[in-house]
Amino acid sequence: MKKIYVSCIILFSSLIVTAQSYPSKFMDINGWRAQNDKQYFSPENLYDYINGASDFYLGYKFQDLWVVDYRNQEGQLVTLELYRHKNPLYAFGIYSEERPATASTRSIGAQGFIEDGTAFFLAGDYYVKIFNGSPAAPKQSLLDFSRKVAERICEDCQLPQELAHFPASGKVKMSERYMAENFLGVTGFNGVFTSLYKTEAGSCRLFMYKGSDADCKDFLSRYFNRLKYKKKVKVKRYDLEDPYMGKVTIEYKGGLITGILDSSSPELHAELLDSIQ
Amino acid sequence: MKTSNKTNRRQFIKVTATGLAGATLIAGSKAEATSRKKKEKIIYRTLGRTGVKLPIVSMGAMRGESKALIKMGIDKGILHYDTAHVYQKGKNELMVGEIFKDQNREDFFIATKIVPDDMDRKTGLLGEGATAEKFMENLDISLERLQMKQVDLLYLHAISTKEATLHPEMIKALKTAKEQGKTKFIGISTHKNEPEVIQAAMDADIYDVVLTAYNFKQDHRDELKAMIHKGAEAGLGFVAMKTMAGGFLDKEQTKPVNTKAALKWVLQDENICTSIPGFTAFEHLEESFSVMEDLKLTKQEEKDLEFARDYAGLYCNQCDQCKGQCQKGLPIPEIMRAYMYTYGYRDMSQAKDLLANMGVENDPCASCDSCTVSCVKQFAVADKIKDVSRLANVPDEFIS
Repeated sequence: MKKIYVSCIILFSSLIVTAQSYPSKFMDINGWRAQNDKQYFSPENLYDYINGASDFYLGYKFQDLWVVDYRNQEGQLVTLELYRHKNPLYAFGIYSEERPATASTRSIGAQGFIEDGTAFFLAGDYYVKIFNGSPAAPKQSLLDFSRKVAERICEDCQLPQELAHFPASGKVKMSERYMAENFLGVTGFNGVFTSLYKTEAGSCRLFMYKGSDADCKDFLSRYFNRLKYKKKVKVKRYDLEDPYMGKVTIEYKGGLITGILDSSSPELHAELLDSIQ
Repeated sequence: MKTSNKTNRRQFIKVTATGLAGATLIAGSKAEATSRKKKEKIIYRTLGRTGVKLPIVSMGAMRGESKALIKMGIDKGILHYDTAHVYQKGKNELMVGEIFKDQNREDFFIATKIVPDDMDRKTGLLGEGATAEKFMENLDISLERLQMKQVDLLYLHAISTKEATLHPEMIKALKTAKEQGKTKFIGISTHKNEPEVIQAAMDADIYDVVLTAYNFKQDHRDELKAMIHKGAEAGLGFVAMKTMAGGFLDKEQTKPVNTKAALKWVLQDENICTSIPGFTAFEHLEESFSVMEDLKLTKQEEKDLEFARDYAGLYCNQCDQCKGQCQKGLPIPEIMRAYMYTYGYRDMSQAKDLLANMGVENDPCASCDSCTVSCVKQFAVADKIKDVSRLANVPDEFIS
């Protein structure tokens, strides 16, 4: 018998398995029953569902989307959209892109908010949206359902730990981002955290990238090249003038790049940069 | 720098008051263009009946460090920037507004797009909630975010049916927007059933521009090309999107599309006025801009596109045309997707999960004498089902 299975595997060729569980865990949730007409979208056809916004999701390594209607015993209807991304960082990236600066956050999953009767939240590698339908569920019921969905994804959902590297003082609420691709417009400079700051010295954006030393050097070399800055990359702090980004301060330490953007006087924010742990 | 930019851009674009007369580059801009030609060649085309002349490379302003990329675009001579009400829940329009508040507004051609409320995403049909009033409310929000009193082009967004294109409430809203001076021109954007939408846009006789998905990989590209030609003859301006066909051939994004060749393929169609690639890196912008040096595909570029087409041809493109054709009611598109997971992505576990979820057992076609499914890509559907459904009998431990 085993031989047959092995033959099957050979027939299917050598495989790398990266499967996520299909969300059967979401079938029935706290009195809400998944309806039959489920829609599935892959990176190839996400466009059919969210049109041009799909490019943005694909940039955050979108994996798949299930759109499922749920009804409870009262006949109320909600629609669950489960956007699964490659990992929790990418999910945070797309969630934080859509999170309004004025959002009043709720404890749903790692973090969530409700806007115009729709719940949005982050849980593990999922970015989840739950739309109220007709007949609509009461707000508390929507909130309870959202929390139960989040629990099915992760018991102790958290925001990315990397955010703790940024200094707390002066940090603008809800401004943290995860830039998935081509930071500073440099191809391959992916996975950079940023956060806005407002202090007495003005506003600025701090950024931080941790990776291999070789990658750090490569990204900076190519960035310097675009600026026609001829120096070799060394462990030091650089004050640069970018024709399209204005004044840019970049500090390179082995395997770590930090910096200041969007400030007319980055030197006034040097302490903040020093505080990135 | 900023002052210089303002002067330069002003010289590039001129729109007639009515949009009917063929506006062209004004005298100063010709000199500018000649001067630029020494550095970079820019090809301009007219956007249908609007009369507006635009470089054939424009910009979808929606990804990455867009602010800096837009600034670079301005510097290079890009005039047309495209955003949408829904992108990043409005943040994208805010970002575009921040940039263009410091520019001479009349020097640029800014478009935004609004999806009708209450649109059934499955059928593309509009419900009772799709009202002119709601559309206008959303337009006012967009204008506020953009810090503009008027956009140059307002699209009815993501339309895939004749009914939505001709919907009386949407027609009313678009006409009102134009009458109130909130947009100069009106358009429609489509990424599905494009020929039907283009025909309906011609019938409606109010649209100036169609923003359409258009690339070398589309199965119906010949039909679409013919319809674009027909629309252009009728005076519609055409803007192309999704020109890079997704950018990659595979899910892991290890096999990139030759994006320069893909863009050339689209722009060789002279009925396309301009394209709106969404750049994320400076070199992408440089590369796209460079297609204007020579739109002719090299032999290698032709080969690359051919390879990309063949690669796509191995797998189902989820057109759903086969839905309901199976006499046993099998979910053919989903099974074909499982096939793609298995052989394209080499992700047998995901394929098995999908099959299990759809209730597909091993060799479900065994009891059928003939297959009633007819694939538009002429796949041997029954053979592929027989092949991939074997996964149902493979224990998880052998594939995980």
